[in-house]
Amino acid sequence: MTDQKITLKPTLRSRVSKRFLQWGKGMEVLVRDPDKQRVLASRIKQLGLTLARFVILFGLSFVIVYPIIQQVAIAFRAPEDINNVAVVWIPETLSIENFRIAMAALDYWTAFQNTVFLAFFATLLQVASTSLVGYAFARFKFPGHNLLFILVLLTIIVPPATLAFPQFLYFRRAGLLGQPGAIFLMSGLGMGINSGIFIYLFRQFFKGIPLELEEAAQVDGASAFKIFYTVMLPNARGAIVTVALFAFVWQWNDSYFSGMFISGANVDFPILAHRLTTLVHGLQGTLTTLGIWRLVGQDVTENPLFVSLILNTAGIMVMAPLLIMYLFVQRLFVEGIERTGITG
Amino acid sequence: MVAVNRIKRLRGTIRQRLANVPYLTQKKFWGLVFVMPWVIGFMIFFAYPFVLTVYYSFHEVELRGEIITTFVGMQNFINAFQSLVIDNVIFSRVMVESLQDLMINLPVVLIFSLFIAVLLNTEFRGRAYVRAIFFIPVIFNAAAINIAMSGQFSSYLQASNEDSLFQLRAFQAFLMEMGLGRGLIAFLILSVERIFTIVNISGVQILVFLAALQSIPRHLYEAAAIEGATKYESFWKITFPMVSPMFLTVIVFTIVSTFVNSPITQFITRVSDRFAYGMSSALSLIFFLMNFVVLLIIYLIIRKSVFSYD
Repeated sequence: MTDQKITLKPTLRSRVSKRFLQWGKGMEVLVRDPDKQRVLASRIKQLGLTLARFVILFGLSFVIVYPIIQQVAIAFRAPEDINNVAVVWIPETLSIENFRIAMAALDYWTAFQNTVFLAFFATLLQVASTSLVGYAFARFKFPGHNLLFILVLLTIIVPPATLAFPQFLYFRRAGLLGQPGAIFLMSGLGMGINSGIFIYLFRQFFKGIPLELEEAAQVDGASAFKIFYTVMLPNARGAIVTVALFAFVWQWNDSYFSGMFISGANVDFPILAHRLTTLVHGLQGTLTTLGIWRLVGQDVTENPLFVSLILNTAGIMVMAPLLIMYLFVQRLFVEGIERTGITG
Repeated sequence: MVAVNRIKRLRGTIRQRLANVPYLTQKKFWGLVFVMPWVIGFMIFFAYPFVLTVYYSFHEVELRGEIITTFVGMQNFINAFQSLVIDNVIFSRVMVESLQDLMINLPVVLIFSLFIAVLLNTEFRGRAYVRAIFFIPVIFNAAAINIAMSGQFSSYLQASNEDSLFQLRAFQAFLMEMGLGRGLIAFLILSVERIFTIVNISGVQILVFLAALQSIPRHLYEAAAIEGATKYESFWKITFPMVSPMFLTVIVFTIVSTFVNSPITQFITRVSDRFAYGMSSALSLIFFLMNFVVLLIIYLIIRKSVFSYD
């Protein structure tokens, strides 16, 4: 084999890898065999790609995590330290004063219980209704099924604001205004938050299940309902988990519907997300009525930053249960949606 | 005991009757039974309210115990664009701005989420952790966080670390020294500022693309590799067409997920807080039509260029 000069050039297009090459000049002298050179080149390229991927993913993860860490760090700061320039990350005096005030302002325990209650049952109803409808659209060719499915898609793209006022009047007339029943009714009839998306998801999923399963049950004389419960649902665990997670999270975070139909009309049924959005406008008043002004010194409470400090802490407290839940089920999120086969 | 027996007998007769009905007819019947709850819900919570909204939008609506309407024709729509000012905000301006925002965000979210999904789909150490982090925005209450972060809180953050703004300036100066064009610099700075928003609104979209990527059969890539295709080529010839059916899903979701937090929705809420229900109905109808037209245009553009098995 003759002394070949750098044949690496055509395989290495990117500048970065060229740099790497110059940097490893010793290697070129060492590696004369063109095969080995090619291996080396691809190794270097791989390294470059890995580095680029690392930088991008790490940077973006940072963008996501940084505000959360910052919020938490700020929340533990003592109210007196708001303007203390020396405190950047680690609070000088660790204090849960902010949490105590935010809890009082949010009416936390009641609101928390209500939110869990609402989100849990709304999720159950959503899963029940949307899976049933999704199954019907996937497997039964009843008259008008195409038209009805187009209507399902229509419900997805119509903004809630368009329907809100007449719905509000409904609930007022039915005496459901201010009751969780309003949301339960909508969820149970497949018209809850983003129900259209769930129906679509279930339809795609059920379409992917082989027909033979059902036909076997059919031959054995099972009724349609029985097939649905005993054959289809157990096989749809992935889709159910995905839909349940999203339904729960969206219900938890929703302040629009629950604000308008429930806690906006009924002070005795506070919901966390709605409570948080209303705090933004009326925190000062809430704190005054709770008598917190007297707890902390006046020089602190008159500071406009104090209000945002409390808001920030309240925001964390609303999100904290979800974040903790997420730690345990995050695997399900990813795996669930991968198995749902929404790609058809 | 008698009642139970009667029910049992009734079930028996129903079964016998059903047994005589052809299988396909039975299926039609059960299909209708299964969608019935949804149809009822649709009628009560969608169809009728929608008709009512259209009706109210042509009326002056007053709520005094019961609803009193007076017909005003197109007046609400004309006013919406000509003279409606709430809290020093003009409706047409809110509309144009949110449309503009949508037009910028849509392509960026689409490209960004596909790119990240491709990255997350490759094998590397610590992938599970990175994925977990990337889907945190899915569970985050964007509205609440935005509200908490906007206004006073952002000023607070700036007070606590003013250097971040300074760093952005330094970045700008660095780009200037590199001799990049002004337009390019402005774009880069804008995307750096937007990156927080973009990352936070594209969680679900990344999930959708990731699912699509996983469903691409492996053998396609193997065949391409044997034919001598580079990774770059196989991305454009295999990956891109195979995930393209998801584009519309992602676009629809991107638009839909902004509904509730949209400035237009907030504007509408403010209008109905002032008891101008006719006007708010008209505005919400305009909002719907705007989104509908945007989606229709995108659908018409995308429909032809998307790959499908059929």
